[in-house]
Amino acid sequence: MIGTANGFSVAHELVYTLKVRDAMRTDVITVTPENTLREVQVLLREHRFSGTPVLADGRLVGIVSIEDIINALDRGHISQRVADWMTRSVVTIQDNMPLSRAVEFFQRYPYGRLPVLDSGGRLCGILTPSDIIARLMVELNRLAEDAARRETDLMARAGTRVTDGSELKMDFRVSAGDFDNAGIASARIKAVLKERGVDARIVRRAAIATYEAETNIVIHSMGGKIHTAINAERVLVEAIDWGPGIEDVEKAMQPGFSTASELVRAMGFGAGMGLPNIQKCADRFEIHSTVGSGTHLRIELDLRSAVPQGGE
Amino acid sequence: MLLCEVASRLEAEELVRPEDPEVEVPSAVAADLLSDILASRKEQFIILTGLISPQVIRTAEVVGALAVVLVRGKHPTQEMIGLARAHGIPLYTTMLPLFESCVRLAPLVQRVRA
Ligand SMILES: Nc1ncnc2c1ncn2[C@@H]1O[C@H](COP(=O)(O)OP(=O)(O)OP(=O)(O)O)[C@@H](O)[C@H]1O
Ligand SMILES: [Mg+2]
Repeated sequence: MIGTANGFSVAHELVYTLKVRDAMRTDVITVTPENTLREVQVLLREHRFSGTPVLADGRLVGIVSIEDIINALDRGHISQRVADWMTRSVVTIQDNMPLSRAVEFFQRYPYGRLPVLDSGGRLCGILTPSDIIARLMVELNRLAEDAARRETDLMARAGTRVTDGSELKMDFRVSAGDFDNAGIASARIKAVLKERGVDARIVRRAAIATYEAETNIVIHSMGGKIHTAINAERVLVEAIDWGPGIEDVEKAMQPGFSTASELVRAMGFGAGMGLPNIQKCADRFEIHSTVGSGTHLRIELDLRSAVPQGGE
Repeated sequence: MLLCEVASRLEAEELVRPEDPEVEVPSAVAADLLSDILASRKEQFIILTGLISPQVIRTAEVVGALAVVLVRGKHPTQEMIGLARAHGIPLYTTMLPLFESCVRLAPLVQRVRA
């Protein structure tokens, strides 16, 4: 997810909003200047760390890395005190800094870990590049989970439902330009029909016709609404908008005719197939449009026949 | 062909896990136009596309697609991943371009037809 176009930009944003303290580990193992390098070696091996901070009276005074230990083994001073061989000039980072700062540090310095200090200058954690990656992955997943939850909520709430005699009615608002929510009405209608055990092919045609109507309102109109009425015999979908209306309806109905902008085309719409597709999916279809006042689609599908009709 | 075979043929990374990786995939629709996918007469298919937007998932939901494969190494937004999760639509991404993806899947589709 990190390093590729979209995942990268989200991760990029996240490193600026998350703080060092959000990603650091707090279960820090420390040593004192009085410990021997041999003791540190055992500790690092046990915990599989590549280095450990050195504290004196709670203050960070140095760091011992795995390289220091290897050198000590090489040169024979492994049983000597940490105080004599630790690295004293330690690069540290504040816990309230943005993670981007830590990323910058890891690029600038050759260190694989940064001790983290709180505002009082005390050691409160340690940060490695893999801590940052782990945190970003968790955060990216959380964003996806949030989106999933929003969608599930939306599906549960969308549209006002009233049962009128034997008819279930659902109404949805569709706002101009609101691409992200185009598809809510169709998904809801699909779910209701499916729940009622309607033939899958009919459900599909109803969903597609509704979606085409929703996207047309989003793309071409100043806003509108979708009315649905479902009974045992049929599903009726009405798409009504408040203008600008279609000048030449016959032309608009021709496959391939579209006035969609380049931007809309780049999003994958605007092939001029929507209205013909609605007609193909519907058992009965009417379109009325008045320039200046709006467009009204009436889409009806029989729920009882499993035989596809229209252009199929 | 099975969905898991499609994924391995395309060396695809799985972003939203299928409930049933062994689901039979009778055909595929490759398109960079959602209009084309919506107008397709096929019924059981996966979508291969280079488009990135929540509308790709909404379209997949509306047509009842078995899965969505994003080609050319396109990565979805977290929003798209969430939508796909909410609707139970398996989501993959492959480094392969659209044409190469189709070429790789062709023998599998022909095997079904034979
Ligand atoms: N609700 C509407 N209000 C105003 N104009 C509309 C409306 N619906 C359709 N049109 C006009 O009719 C044309 C054809 O619509 P149609 O749905 O067939 O194609 P499209 O929306 O342009 O492309 P596609 O549906 O393939 O994404 C549109 O380009 C637009 O000019
Ligand atoms: Mg349209």
